[in-house]
Amino acid sequence: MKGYRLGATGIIVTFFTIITATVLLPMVLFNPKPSNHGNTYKDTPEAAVADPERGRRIYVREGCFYCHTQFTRKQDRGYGPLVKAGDYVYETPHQLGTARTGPDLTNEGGKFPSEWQKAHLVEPRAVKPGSIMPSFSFLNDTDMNDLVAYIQSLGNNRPVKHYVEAPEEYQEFLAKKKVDTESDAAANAGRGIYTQNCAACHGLDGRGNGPNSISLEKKPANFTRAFFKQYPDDMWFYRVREGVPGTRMPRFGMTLSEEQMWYLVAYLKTLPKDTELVVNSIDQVNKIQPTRLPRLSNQLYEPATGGHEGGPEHPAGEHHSPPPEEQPPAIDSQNSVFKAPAKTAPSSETHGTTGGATGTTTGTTTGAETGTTTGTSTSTTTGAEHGTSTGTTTGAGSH
Amino acid sequence: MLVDRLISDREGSASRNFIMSALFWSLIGMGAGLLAAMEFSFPDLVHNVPQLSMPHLRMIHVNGVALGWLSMGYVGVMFYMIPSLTKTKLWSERLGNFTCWAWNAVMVGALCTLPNGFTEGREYAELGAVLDTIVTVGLISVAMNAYMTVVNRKVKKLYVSLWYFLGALFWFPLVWIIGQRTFVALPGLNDAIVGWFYGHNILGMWFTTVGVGMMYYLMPRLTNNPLYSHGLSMLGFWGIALFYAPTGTHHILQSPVPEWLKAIAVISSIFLLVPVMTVLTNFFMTMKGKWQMMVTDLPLRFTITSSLFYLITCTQGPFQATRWVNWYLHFTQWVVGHAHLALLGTFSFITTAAIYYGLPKLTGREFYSQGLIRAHYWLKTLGFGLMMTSLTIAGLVQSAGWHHAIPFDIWSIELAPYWILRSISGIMIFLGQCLFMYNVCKSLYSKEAKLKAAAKLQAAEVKG
Repeated sequence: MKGYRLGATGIIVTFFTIITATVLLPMVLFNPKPSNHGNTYKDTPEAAVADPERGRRIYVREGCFYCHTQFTRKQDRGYGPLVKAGDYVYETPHQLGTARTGPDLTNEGGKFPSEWQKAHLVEPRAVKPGSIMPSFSFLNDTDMNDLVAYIQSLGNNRPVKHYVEAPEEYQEFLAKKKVDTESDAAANAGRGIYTQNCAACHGLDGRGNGPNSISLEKKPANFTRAFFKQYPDDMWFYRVREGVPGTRMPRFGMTLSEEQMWYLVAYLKTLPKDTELVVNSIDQVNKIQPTRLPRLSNQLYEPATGGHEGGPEHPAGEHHSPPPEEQPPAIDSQNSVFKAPAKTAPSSETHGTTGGATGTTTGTTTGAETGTTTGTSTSTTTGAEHGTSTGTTTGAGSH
Repeated sequence: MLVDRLISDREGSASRNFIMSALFWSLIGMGAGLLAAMEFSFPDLVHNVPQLSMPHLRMIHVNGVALGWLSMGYVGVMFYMIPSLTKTKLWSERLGNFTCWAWNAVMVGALCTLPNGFTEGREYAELGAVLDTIVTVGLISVAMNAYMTVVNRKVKKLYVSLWYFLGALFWFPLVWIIGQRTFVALPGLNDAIVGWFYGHNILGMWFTTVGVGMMYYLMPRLTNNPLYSHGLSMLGFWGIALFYAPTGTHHILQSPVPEWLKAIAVISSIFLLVPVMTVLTNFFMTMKGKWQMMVTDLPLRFTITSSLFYLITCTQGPFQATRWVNWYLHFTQWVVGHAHLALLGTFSFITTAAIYYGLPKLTGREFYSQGLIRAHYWLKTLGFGLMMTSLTIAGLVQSAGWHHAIPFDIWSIELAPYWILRSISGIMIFLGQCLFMYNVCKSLYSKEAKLKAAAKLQAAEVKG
């Protein structure tokens, strides 16, 4: 045995050095502070009706982490903000995951309505054709609700404690605004400006997944989040004009005119989704409109005369005002555990109706013409909108 | 009497029992893997049975294959190889057989708990506290048995295989104890760091070390060539000892863990090329002049195939661990293919080779059919080739999908053909394993085999 004493010592010393360096040392040196997103599963709207903490145990029990990861990487587009070390302080056992057979769930909370999540767990292929997720129909009702509550608690969609508000002086900008930011025509004008200036980072459909987003440490905002519904005009304007400190978001006040920025605001305001829609059955789930784009019109926006002057006073029963959008089905208090979080009411559904502002100035005939064309184009497809949007873009640019 | 039958002290019984249990658990582990693979193509194949839903099948698959098939096979083969290398008996057959029963109990426990949702939720460490403890005790008793056998050896010098075996039996119990995290609750990322220290070292300090030790044993034995260089073999051993253990963090290279830890992981992953290349040079130089034996000698054919797969795995591995390749390939099915290349391609093949070589020597009974061994070889090699190809391509499709920001639902449908190919490859591999099991059972327990053995014994007596 004597001849091998050196070898044995060598093995023992090497291995314990390695354990000290890579297992014990990180435990001593690496103690990140809990970040704002560090999830305690307590402050979610769903926590009132179901137990997200228990839901997490079900997530672990059912082995969701074999296919779903919970960390966003720099190159991921459209998965929301990059994770920080402090986000994971409360995560034991960690659910980082190893393979993305399914999508990343870091910021899954609030992406879909709770009832959608439930329907997706019971019958994945009914709501997502081609999905290979196993059906979890064997979960009982409590388990399912808790699991959905956990899923809804993931990510940055939880209520924020401190909202950023536009500085005082932005009331002045608001006061001298000449663009009706609620109108479709302004939004269509803004769409071109958006495509030229914003889409490279924020993506064509505003999901924060533009090609530049790969290389950005702070991920561009995903405007389709319901969170942005609560942004008032001055806040949008403030962000566009002054950029976002600490990120690569530029100060568009340096390059765009005030008027252009208001168009942009009008467009941006159309992007947030209504995730608060609650439906009762799988059939209705398919009918939820993922993104509500501004209604198309052939009208060109007339900045000098149009806008807010004509807007609100305009008779609401105008011939081209679209049929009222399908109301979200009434919440069945027995069936749906997850009521709509009362943060934002989807009341802005009707905001497009004032789009006929130009009608008053340019004459009713145009209004009538566009009325007919608009009606058909909106009801048929959404895919055709891109083509038309470029048309409006150039039009708006020339004005 | 019953105790004597169950915990017998007949020479070689512990080894044989371990190998037979390993074969049994391999069928369950691989079967679960096959069913899980089929559920990728047909997600509603099994409906409303929580025990057979894909995540639970994956737990059975990973635990059944890693802990049941490979680990038990490894222990069985070590219990055969260590006495043969030290020219002495196993220190305690009774302890060995007892360990075998305990280990089987763990596997039964795993099969009962995991599919029913009793899991710790830690990848590769799903087993509950009680089972963890039993495995720890089992590993320590296996280590004890091996070390005492070596202490009682009749040969002065330790062959390199023994270095690997003894090293693995020192490392693995420690890695296991650290990695289970049964009685601690570490905050998120620390849990991940420790978890991946374990998750990678179950491979590095157990499957690789014992597997390479087996290759070192089999190649010179089967070819009758002397080992090319003992110096190189020592370099390879110390290379693995130094560079394998700190690599774990490369699994979470893009998560917000400390950069210095990632740097250590990446650098040591790349340095792993050194031991791998020395080991493989040593093997291939040992084969010099005897390559044609691959055609006739079936255990050698398995061994060579295994070492070739080892070459592919270990050139893939270090590159995958670099930041830029990891940036592109992490999270994809490519990595799943890589993991199967190591565990199925390399270490399953070498265990199979060792069983085909060792079992006749252990039991004195020839294999029932050489044709079945050939069928097993081709089913497994071709099946595995298909699996590797389909998973690699699927991985590239996946990562191209999300690096071009194509929505998930669109590109995930594109993977359907690869899932089907993988299911087909799974059927081939599982079928191969079934043939293996059938062959072994037929040669050990059939009437003809018993008669043949008796005749052989008689002939030997007459001769003697």
